[in-house]
Amino acid sequence: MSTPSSSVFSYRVLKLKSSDGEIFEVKQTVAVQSGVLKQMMEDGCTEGEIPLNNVDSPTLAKIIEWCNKHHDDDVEGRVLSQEKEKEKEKADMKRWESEFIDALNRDELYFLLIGSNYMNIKELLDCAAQKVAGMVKGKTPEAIREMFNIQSDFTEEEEKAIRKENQWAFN
Amino acid sequence: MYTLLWTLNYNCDIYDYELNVTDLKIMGDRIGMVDRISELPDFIIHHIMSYLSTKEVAQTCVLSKRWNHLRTSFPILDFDQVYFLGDLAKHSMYTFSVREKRRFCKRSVKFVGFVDASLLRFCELKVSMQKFRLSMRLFDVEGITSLLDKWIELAVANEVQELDFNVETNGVSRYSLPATIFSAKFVTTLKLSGCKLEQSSDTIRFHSLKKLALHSVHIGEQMVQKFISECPLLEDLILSAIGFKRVCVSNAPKLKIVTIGDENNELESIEIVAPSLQQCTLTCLYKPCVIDLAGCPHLNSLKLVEVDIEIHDLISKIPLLEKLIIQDCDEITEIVFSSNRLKDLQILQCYNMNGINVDAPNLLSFSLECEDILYCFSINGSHRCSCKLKFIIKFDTEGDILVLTWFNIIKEEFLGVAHQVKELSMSISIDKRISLDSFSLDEFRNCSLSLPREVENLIIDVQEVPPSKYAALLDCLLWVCFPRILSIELKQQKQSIKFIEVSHVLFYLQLFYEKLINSDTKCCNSHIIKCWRHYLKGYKIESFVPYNDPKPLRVDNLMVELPRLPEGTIRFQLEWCSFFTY
Repeated sequence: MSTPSSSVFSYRVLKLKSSDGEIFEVKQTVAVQSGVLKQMMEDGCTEGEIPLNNVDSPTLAKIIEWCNKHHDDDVEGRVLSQEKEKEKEKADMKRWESEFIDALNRDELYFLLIGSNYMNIKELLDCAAQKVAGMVKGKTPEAIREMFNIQSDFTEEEEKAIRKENQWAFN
Repeated sequence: MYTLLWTLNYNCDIYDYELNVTDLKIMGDRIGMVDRISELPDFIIHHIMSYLSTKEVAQTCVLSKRWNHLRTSFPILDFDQVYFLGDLAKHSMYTFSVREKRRFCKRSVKFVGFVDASLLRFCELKVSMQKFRLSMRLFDVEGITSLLDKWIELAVANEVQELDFNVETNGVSRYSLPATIFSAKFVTTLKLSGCKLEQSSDTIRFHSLKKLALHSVHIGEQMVQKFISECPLLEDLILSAIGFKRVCVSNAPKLKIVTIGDENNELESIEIVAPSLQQCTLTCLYKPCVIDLAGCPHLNSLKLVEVDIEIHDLISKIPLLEKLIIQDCDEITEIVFSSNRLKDLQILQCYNMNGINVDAPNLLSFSLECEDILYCFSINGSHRCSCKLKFIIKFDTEGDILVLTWFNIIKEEFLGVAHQVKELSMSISIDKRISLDSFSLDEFRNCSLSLPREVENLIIDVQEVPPSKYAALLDCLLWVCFPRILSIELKQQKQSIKFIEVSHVLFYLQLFYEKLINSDTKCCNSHIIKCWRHYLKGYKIESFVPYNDPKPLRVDNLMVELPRLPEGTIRFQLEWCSFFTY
């Protein structure tokens, strides 16, 4: 089977079905940002509803919002005349991204990590992972445990031994 | 899953009022604090960890057993002796006292033990290694060679993709890398530093190698050659190695970026034949070094540091060049060339430069940093070309006439030729012993009859100028140009002096501003072109650079605040009468 050309892509929409049964319509040109959907398009198996069993509707809505935003920025043929403009667009996008990620609560962030990984959207996964890393940065293990509600299952002796072995990291 | 959480919420009963939406959200956040993050698949957590520092990653091991395992299996293995050395890390090994040396050795043994244990634990898991980095200093390699060999073997056996090996010794004995390293066929990035690579007849199997960096690695000419010709995918090559006189890069079809440095001042010739090469940085210390880039038809960015060559000959053979940086080339006294494609030209800190004559009709950006006066200057660039000029002016032996000549040359030669001057930066120091009798606006006016030029940002760094001449200095500078922004640098060194100097400049500015408001500008009556006082409409503080918010600074209380300010740059926004229609 031949791969449909990109001009055909732009007029078609995919029907994505979230784990809780909601249908989202997404332009193919937007959907290509997902490695999984791109592969499906290339294989020509995007007829009907595409079930995304690992992504619930609020998360899918967020993912589509991200993809739409990043798609807009990539419109082909739009030539930015000046380096300055390019830099500004980049900075604007960075700001948008951090606002987008910062507005999420812990649960939403968690489901977004799972969802973006499942749909293979690298930039979104990177952005979400960086957000979590930023939350961890500069915190003591105690503060990290409290933040994520991680229960230590070490005995006192075990923890002592591990701390001793990694003494250098706690200096 | 949400419903399950609600029912699990053991604290619910304390809320005996009806929950509204906000409460629900707050509670959701709080209840959402089941340990979700630990439930994420290993590779997502590892991805998150890849954004943390080595120390932060190591600290996660005490969180819980799951996290301890995640840390053990983290495929980025980064070991740096610095973390184990504590206060000793700051000192040079060569100045250690006997006691310090003993402490150094003791801590190094601990470090080596830690690396060994961590590596073995990781390798038991039989997963591929994303990165192995080792950085350490040694007095003697003898006792540790077999261990280092073993680590490299383990990394190679675990399909390491990025290998960064920095073993620095006192120079007498170097760690000689084992031949096993050549069979690292999964390695995409290889950085070696401080070691030695012996001549070897083994086939190099770096089939995936894209980036190779050799810093002060002892390696022979033939080995360099062998590396380049046996790594077909090589894209990025950094070579500041020692032990060879000639670099000849050829048979590198994918090579895009090359950086060559000469650490031992022994490089005599560099020849690069690379059809895909786009970016090239060459640092050759002082010795006349032959550079041949004729075999790089796609080169578009070139940086030359500390070279002594005919720029013209080199450039004429690079037709697609768009960016050229010439830095610290004290042997070059003249730059004359033409280039059709060149967009960005930077000539920085070449302190013996006498003349620049460049014909580049598409030039969009030009930067110049110079110390001595350029007697010949001509840049023919695009009409949209913007310039950044930086002059470090030191007058220590000759008189005030020279100062005025200098200012005039800057005005006529540089600002006259440039189309848009984005930045004019002047660091000025005038020795106290120089007589400055005729350093005044009136004198300057006589030798410079033209209108001041338009400049976006004038940066003044007053190093040393007799305070009695501040007014004259400001007058002359504002006869050279009318800046939209006037930046005055405050530096921490010699702080007290600086503040006095800045205060003076500000004082005059304020004084004249007030004069202007009071329409008390009686000077310049007999002249067609009057001094800046007649054209300044207003000024305000635009910003103080370390502060994001200009609020703490207002013109009227600046004098009071000045002594409390940290190092930084005060930027004034000056508003001029539409001078050119005046």
